[in-house]
Amino acid sequence: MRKNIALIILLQLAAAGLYAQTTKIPDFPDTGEEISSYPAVEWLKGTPVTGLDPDKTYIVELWATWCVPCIAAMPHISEMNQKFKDKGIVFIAQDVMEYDREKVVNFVKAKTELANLNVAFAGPQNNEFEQRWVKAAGISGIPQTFIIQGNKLLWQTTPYMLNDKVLQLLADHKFTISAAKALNGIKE
Amino acid sequence: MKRRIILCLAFTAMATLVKAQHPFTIEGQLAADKQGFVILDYYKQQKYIRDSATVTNGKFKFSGTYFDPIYATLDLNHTQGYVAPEKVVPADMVKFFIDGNLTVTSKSGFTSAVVKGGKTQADYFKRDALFKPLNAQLSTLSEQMRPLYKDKNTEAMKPIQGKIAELVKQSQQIDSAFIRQNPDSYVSFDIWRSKHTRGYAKPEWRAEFERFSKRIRQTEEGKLMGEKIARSEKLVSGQTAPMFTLEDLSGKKVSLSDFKGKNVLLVFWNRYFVPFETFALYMRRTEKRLKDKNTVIVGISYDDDATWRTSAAENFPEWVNLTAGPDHVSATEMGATGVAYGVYSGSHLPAAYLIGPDGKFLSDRINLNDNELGTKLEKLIK
Repeated sequence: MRKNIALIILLQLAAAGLYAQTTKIPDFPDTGEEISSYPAVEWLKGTPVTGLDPDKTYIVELWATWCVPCIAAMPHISEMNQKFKDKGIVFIAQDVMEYDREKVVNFVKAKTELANLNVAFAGPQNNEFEQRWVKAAGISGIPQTFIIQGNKLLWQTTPYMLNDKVLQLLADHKFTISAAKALNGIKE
Repeated sequence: MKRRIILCLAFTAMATLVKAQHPFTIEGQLAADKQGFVILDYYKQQKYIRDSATVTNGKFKFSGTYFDPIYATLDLNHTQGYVAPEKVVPADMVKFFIDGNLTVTSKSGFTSAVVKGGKTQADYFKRDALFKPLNAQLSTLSEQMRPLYKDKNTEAMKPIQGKIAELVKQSQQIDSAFIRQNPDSYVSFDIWRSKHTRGYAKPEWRAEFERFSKRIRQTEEGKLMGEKIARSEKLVSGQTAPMFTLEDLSGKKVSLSDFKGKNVLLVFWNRYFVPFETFALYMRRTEKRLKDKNTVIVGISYDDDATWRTSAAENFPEWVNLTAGPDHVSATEMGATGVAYGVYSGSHLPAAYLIGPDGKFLSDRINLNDNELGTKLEKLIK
């Protein structure tokens, strides 16, 4: 049943692309719901991610050049990327909430912390990523992190919740939100 | 108009009930060459009041009535309209508490005036003196900051900002100590209350509130705060949810008791808070998760009738949609149901509670700004 719903959502997503300006944007998937495509973005660095491989884990990190805490989290993200990139985990540093392409390009060139990450620029105002992910997920502030595994949204969280132990849970396919929270000292 | 930056708290006034009023007078004698007009600003029962009087040879007089002591300002020859930057002069103001009859005396204007009369003003004067050295340091730092700010020299600004942050911390410590040492002062209570007006009242406030003297707790604002805390203690997990009867979209009366045997997610909302879209998304997700799980979502709207009908149909067609109705007349008068659930003003919206099949709260107030809301509620329902 849930699969069917997800399929319908996907169809709506496809339709929304055609009528982006006039149609209501479908909600971003809730935890546990299907997510199997990545919006069209401009890849500035690393390997472009287009389709989401069900055998892989994706950690999508939303950031912007003006977002001080996002930048502050980058060395940590980069370090985890080095440790886990060979364990089926793909990190994406997705620039959002700004439209000055040149500013972003120059920033990415200059920042060594971003060097080994896949970095993407979302595009001009009302771009696909902004519409289908940022707005549709009700995001009004960054940093923000999406964890996707097996084509399902596992968790929408912040980079502060990520650490080697949480990443290991993902690599071992043993991830649950409760377990990740417990590793961060949060009792549910 | 350029105003001096001073370390000072905003003493916000909240609504009080209609109770006994006391008369007050303010008699002023400034330097004999001062002429013009003086403006008196204050809040009484949440209403902003501005009064004015003429100043003749330095003399002026005000009179009025008050409930609890009032935090007020006097402003001499207040500048109105546009003033060219080179003609801006610092405001000549004094801040004080009205508590009975006051005298304001000065050999020049308000900046160096001494305000006397009433216990509250005496306490305020005492507190003000504690802040003097801090204010002096702050104005020095502000002077150092100005050229750096103009040059956008953010690096050089950092150490000064650090020192200012340190002063702010010190000011908070001064106030905490003042409150502890003066439990029978309305100034203490006003400082404490100003830090406890935003958001919802919490049972944890009880201990601090009880430290104030009985006299303070019996002031109009004191009684109001006491009632809010008492109410908050009834709005926690395990307590029986307050009863209500309100109208739905068809005009039918709906009561909480109609849902006995079911879980009820009770949501107080309107269309105009930010970010509404995020709230609506989380609610749609929650609705999906709680579907077919013996749970009804009951929305109580604080919109006008037309907005309520449109936004309920557009966003939450599956809910039991009720209106706070004629009971709720403005953003500050939330009506009996809202007040019973600790929703005292429009700024408390949205608010939500989860009530079990037995009519008792299944948790404390629900945090709606949570993208895991649905999962959390799923675990709580019976």
